[in-house]
Formats: sequence, structure tokens, C-alpha cells
Amino acid sequence: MHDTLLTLQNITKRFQSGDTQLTVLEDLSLTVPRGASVAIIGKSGSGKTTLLNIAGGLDTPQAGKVIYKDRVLSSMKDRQLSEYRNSNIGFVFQSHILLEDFTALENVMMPSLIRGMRPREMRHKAQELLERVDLSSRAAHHPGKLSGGERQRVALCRALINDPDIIIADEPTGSLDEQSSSGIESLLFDLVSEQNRTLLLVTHDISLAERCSHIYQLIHHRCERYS
Amino acid sequence: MSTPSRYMFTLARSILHHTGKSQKNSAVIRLFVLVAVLMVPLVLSLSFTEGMIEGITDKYILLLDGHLQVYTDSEVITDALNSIPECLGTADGCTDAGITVDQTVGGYGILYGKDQTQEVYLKSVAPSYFNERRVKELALVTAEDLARTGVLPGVYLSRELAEHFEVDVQDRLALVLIPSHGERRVRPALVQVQGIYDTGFYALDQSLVFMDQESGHLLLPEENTRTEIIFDSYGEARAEELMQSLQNQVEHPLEWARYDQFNTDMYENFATSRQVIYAVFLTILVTAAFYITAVAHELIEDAKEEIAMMKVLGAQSKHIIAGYLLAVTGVTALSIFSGTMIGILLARNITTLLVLLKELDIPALRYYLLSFDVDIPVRKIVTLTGTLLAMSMVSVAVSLRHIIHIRPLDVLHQD
Repeated sequence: MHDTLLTLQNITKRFQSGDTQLTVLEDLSLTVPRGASVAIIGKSGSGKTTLLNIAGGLDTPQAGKVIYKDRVLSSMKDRQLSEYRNSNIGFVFQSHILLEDFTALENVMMPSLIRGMRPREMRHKAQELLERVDLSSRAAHHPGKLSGGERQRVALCRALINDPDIIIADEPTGSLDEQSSSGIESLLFDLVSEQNRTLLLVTHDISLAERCSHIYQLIHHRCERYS
Repeated sequence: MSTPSRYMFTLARSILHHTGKSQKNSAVIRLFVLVAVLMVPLVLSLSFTEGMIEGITDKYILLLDGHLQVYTDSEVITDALNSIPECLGTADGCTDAGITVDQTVGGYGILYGKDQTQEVYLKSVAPSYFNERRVKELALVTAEDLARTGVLPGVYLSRELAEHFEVDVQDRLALVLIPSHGERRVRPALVQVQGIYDTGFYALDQSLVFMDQESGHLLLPEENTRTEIIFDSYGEARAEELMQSLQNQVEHPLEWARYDQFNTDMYENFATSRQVIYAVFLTILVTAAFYITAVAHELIEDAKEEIAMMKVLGAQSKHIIAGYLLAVTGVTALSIFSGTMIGILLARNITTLLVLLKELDIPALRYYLLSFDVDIPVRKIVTLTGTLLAMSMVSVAVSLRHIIHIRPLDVLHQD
């Protein structure tokens, strides 16, 4: 039996574009159960990323609320939102944004460094994660020396280092070739399953979405169950 | 190390050691070089100016005025000094207490050579006047003991005057004493050159002539008799205190003056020069702080994406600001230190440059001291460097507040 980890209630998000107001999400509601893998699919520009940003505490809606374990995100201060993102969310983005001035190992360690984990502990954990994704030999390399697939694997390790409850993945294989995509998909689902994490995934790839336990389609600014 | 500190140090390290964009490295290197290059002339000119001012002041104090002048006989002062607590209990009285007393008589006269004349200030002193400390300021080139030989007063001339009159030791010059108050006749005399000295300072060399004590008592106005007091280990700052103690030992009221009450124009000029120099330094420091701020701003602009990403990962603005502040302050401090050390090193070796300048014999430099000990003004340098560091930290901190406005979403695409 799943209990609810994250709830989006009646979310409305509009963007101002010159004189016109663009509605991206309207009265959207979504429940993410603990341990589930939830895929959001939809056309380009349908607001999938906006939905993830709101769920991850990176953006705020004009109406509605995001509830994480009985805590309402909109009532949190900046510092609390930062802590929320750092401790509870693991982000994986399409363009695997890594910090260029840090090595792969340091990139993985970064969230735990921000959190204040003990150095030995975080180094050990980061090395374990890199080993798990077959990148232990690349730990000292900077992102510029890594391939697209390797960078995305580093980003995956970085998302997991703080043992977050939820992994938010935005088109995680969108910028990779077919072979790398397949490897990253498998790693993502294996790691989420091994570590009993909740996955909130945005993709336009139906085959990837079908690996999730729940699939929603973003249509007419709302989430509907995909069948 | 606490949580934010570890993160801040890692961030600062990454700012200083870029592997990515080369313009970031160049900004840090530019910052380091500019501040260091700026500090070198500032420290050098501060040490040079302070050294020269101190050098000139020392020459005036030791050779012309003393730290204190008391207008009474030196025996009275010596007796009084030996009865005051400052001198009691020391093996050799006041000398051991770091206080030197000399009786002098002064007066103006005109020296006549074969073809030249020159107005001079005559100062009669005992042979003991040329002690180790004074000889350091005086550089006696050739000298016999300063004493009256038969009927001829003995004098020490500066090399400047000796060359002017084309005389050497043993040569004679005519002297006409300018009448003092109440006197109606001029008194001509012959004097014999017994020594040639070189203070290295034109303003003294062109007019100061030492005369033997016996002749001074005979020729110079009695009312110009004074007792010069020089402090060594005793401390100049206690002059007032010493005078109070002396007054308590003497029945009649003592008239006295501090060294800075003579040649007031010169000391006021020194004070003004110092103020002008500090004002110029302050302007330069403000400009440097502005530049440091501009570099900090440039670093942030170049790292907008990284900063936004760190915010996505949960970093707080204040910790990112602290990381940048640490990096910029670290580079600034290191370059201030390097520039200061180079400045001090050059200042310590400035004698070589001064010797070169002296050899060039540039007329405009005659009024400057070209031979002096550069005593590094540590406290002033610390104030100077501390001011720059503090100003840059404040302005950089203000500039870094821009980080607050970088949002995590700035790095993400919107769909």
C-alpha cells in the first residue's frame, strides 16, 4: 500500500509574454505515492518541465499548493526551500548540467557538501555510486573530458548522493544517442528500485514512460491518466 | 570545519582554480597582478617618504635643536637631571637613562673667503658634542678635535661650504659676527678650519658651522646660551613629563621649547606632505577597491549558470556569496602581501638608487635627503593594507549581493 509523498493541488501557472498571458498549467492536481514511479508525458511546450520545477520547489504557482509530507512548499522561506531541494529531491536534467570546475567525484559530492555531510562519509558514498555506474576510473576527470552518457551517469549519482525521497528527472535521455539512452534508462530504474526511491519523470518517449508504475498525460493544462 | 565553511572553501577553491573558462582565470590573474603592482609603489613611496622625513627630522634634532632646549646653563640642568627619578639609580646618571645634555651657544655671522662670502649659523659646542649618535648624522670627512688654537677659533665647515670657499683643514677664513641685540659694533675675527663634515642635507650644509666652545663663549652672544637635551632610550613622548620633573628641582622658572617648536614651517610642511600622501593613497585605494569589485562582478557574470545550478542543488545565496568573498578576498590578500613584500624589499635596497641619484648631482634633489636609513613604517603599512582589504571586502560584498537575484530557473529550460 502506497502512502502519499507529494501532492500537487489545483496548480495554476501562467507566464506573461508581452501583453498576453500564457496559461501553462490550470487547476492541475497530481498525487505522487511513496516508492512509485510516475511518468508525465505530453507534447513539447505542454508545461511538463514547469510542472517538475514547481514540484521541485524551483518555481512557484500563481494558485494551488504543493504539499510534501504535510508541509506546504509555498509557506517555506528561501532557506527552507533550499534545504527541501537539497535533502529531499534529486534532480536529473536533460542537459546533465554539471559544474565544469569540479571533477566527476566532486560533482557527485556537491549536494552532500552543501548539506554538510562528513567528508570521509560523502567521499566514500560518492565513490560507491560512481562505481555502481561504472565510472570509478573517471572520478578525477572534469566534465569536459566525459562523454554525454558519462556526464548523465555522473548527474544520476549526484541526484542520489543525499538519499532523497524523490528523483525528479526531466527528459533524462533526451540529449543522448540510442545506446547511451538505453543504458541510462536502465540505470535510472535500477537505482530507483534498489534504493527504494520515488521517481517523477517527464518524457515524450512512451516506451520510457511505460517502465513507470503510473503514467499521466499533460493535456489541456491538466494531468490525466494515460491509457 | 562547519558545514557552510567546507562548502565555501570548496567553492572558493574552484573559483581560483578554473579548469573551464579561461577568462575566469584571466580575471583572477589580472586581479592578483594589478593589486600587487599597485602595492609596490605605495609601500615603496610610503617607506621612502617616511624615511626621508624621519631622516631630516633626526638631523635637525641631533645637529641643530635637540629634542628639548632649555634656556639656562647646562650645569643647572645636569644637576637637576641627576636628582630626578628618571636618572636616579642608573649607573652613570642621566647618560645611562638615555638622556644626553649639551650646552651650546649660537649666533649668526658672515664668512669671507678669497672671493666668496656666505652668511652662516655658528654653533659653539664642546668636543663631547660629537658623540657616536651625532657622528652618524654628520659624517666627519676630515677633522681634528674642535678646539681654540692660540687666538684662532676652530670651526667645522660642511663640505658644501669648504668647496664654496675653496678651503681645507688648517686653512683660515675671516668671520664677521652679526651684532646681537644691544650691540653696536661688528666684531671681525679669523677662524681656522679644523674639520669638514657632510650631513648630506643641503639646507644644513649651506649654513651650519660648528665652533669650539671656548671661542663660542668669547664671541657669541651670551643670551644665546642654551642646554640641548637629546633623548635616546628615554622616549621623546615623555618630554613634558621630564620638564615637569626638572622644574620641581629648580627654584627659578625654566623656559624651554620642544624641537617641533623650532623650524615650524618645515614640520608643518612635513605634516602637510604626509596628509597629501595619505589622501593620494586613499584615492588610489578606492580606485583599486572599485577594480576588485568589478572583477568580482565579472566572476559572477561568468559563473551565472554554475551559481544557478548550485542553487538548484540546495545551496543558499549567503553561502555562495561567502565562497566568492573568500576567493576574492584571498586573492586580494595574497596580492597585497606579495606587493607589500616586494615594496619592502625595494625600500630596503633604495640606498643603491639614492647613491645613483646623488652621483647624478641633480640640482633639484639638493633639497632632499639622499642618504638615510629606511626604517620600514610597519604600522602605517599595516593600516594601508588593512584599509585596502577592508574597503575591497565591503565593496565586493555589496557587489556579490547580485548573487541573490540569480534564480535556479535561470539555468533550466522551460517547457
